[in-house]
Amino acid sequence: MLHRSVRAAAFSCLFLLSCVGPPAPDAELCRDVIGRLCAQPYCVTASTRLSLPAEGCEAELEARSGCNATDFAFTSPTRAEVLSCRLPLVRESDQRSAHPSCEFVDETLRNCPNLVVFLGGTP
Amino acid sequence: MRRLLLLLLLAWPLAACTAVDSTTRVERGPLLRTFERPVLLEGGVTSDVRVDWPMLKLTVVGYDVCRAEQVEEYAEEKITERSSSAAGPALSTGIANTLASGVLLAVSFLVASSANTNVIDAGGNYGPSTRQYLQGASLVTLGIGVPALIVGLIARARTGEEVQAQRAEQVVSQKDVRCNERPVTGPLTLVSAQGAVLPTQVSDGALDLDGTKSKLAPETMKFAEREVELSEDARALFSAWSACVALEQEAGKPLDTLSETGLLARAERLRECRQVRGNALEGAVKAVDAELAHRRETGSPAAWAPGTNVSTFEEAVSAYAPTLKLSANSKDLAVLDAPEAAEGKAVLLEGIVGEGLTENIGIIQLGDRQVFLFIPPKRAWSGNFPNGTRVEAVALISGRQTLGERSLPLLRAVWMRTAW
Repeated sequence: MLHRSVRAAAFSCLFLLSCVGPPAPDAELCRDVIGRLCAQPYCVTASTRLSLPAEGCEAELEARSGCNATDFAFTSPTRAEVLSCRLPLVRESDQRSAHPSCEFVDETLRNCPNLVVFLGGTP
Repeated sequence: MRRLLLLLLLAWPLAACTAVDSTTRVERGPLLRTFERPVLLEGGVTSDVRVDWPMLKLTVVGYDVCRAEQVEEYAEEKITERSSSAAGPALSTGIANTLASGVLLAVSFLVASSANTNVIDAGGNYGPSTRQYLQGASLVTLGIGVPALIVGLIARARTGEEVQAQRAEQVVSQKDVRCNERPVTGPLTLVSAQGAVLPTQVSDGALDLDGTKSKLAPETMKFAEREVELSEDARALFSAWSACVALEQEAGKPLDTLSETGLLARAERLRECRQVRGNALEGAVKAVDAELAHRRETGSPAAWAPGTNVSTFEEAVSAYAPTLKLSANSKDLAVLDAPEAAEGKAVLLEGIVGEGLTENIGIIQLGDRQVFLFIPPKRAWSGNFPNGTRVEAVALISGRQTLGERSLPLLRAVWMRTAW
């Protein structure tokens, strides 16, 4: 009976998983958020709040947050909080190379002071 | 076993999707044989009739109907064709999609299985790998292909042609003859034209009836509630005997008391009865003919019975209450245009006596119109009314009468007197 249930579950999962890949590691998720905030040209709010440097934005923020380490894991904010704060940034596209609208960048920074602090900015 | 049940449960709803059209036709094959089939049918009761006045002698027999049917037997094929317009498309869709699903699944193992790291969705997951895409598409096409394939296969299994060989019979002709004739025993009822019945008993097919003792003049006979069939000759004899019986029963009625209808009926009965009694009725026939001839001239005395009950002109007016007045220039004269429509209506007549045509019929002049006035022989009033006499009368319109070349409205006088 268990064998049959597992087979049915696997069949269902196969169908559902055909639409998504495996979960991205926390370090990759962190770099994805930084990449979207550092996309040129900077949004004014991001530039001001996070004090973004003119060059080497991504390296600077990865260093501030510590997510340049391969074994990085979210603690504060948690992964769930980061995913929630990231929602406006992926509203237009979940491609990592996409530049989010500054309107959505503003929304993220306004609603997520913990993330701003995590990235070394001023909430 | 469970798997089989599950498969059946899944396939059953799909079978409902397969509408199957069924047409049946019968094709007649060669003639196999021709044969005659005897059929025994319910017959009836008939009777032979002999008359030796006053005796009626019946020989009542029952019979069956033996029918000989000429039957042709043919070979016949009953062909039932079942077709489904959905079978072809469903089967091709099912095969194509199932094959595509297999191909997609096979190809999926040849492509990269690594996730798409260029994408991280809102849930924090990478994008699916190419293998996942292909396997998902394989599942979708399999989901379309397998039900379509089942529907197609079921429809295919239910279509086809079924031929059933059988034999067919056709009755091409039939001939009915009377058979098994046998004398019957049982109750026989004589029925008169008025519906009166006289029950009798037939014993071994024989029944003798005495016409002088019969209480009714029968018109038909029934044996055990079934009408006894008679040949044309037998019916004529039976009717003649019946007419003689009727004459016997009314022998006490003198001719002059009969109405015209009664007199004519008696003449008709005499004519029929002569077939069995011959010249024995010659005197009675002559008497009736003479009475009929007399009445053609004088009218029926029986018709005037009411008129004889009044004794004055005023009583006649009171008893008959005439509603029309027929006199010169009277508007009511219009009723004479169609006297048949006003038959029996009482009128008050004022006119001048014209010529007398017979002993009892004269012409009355009403302005420019004329009528026949019938004066009954047994009238209650007296007096002479020579030509030119002005008269008034209470009379009944009695249709139209033709005498010689004249055809005029006929009025029957109830009371008549001189006037003015």
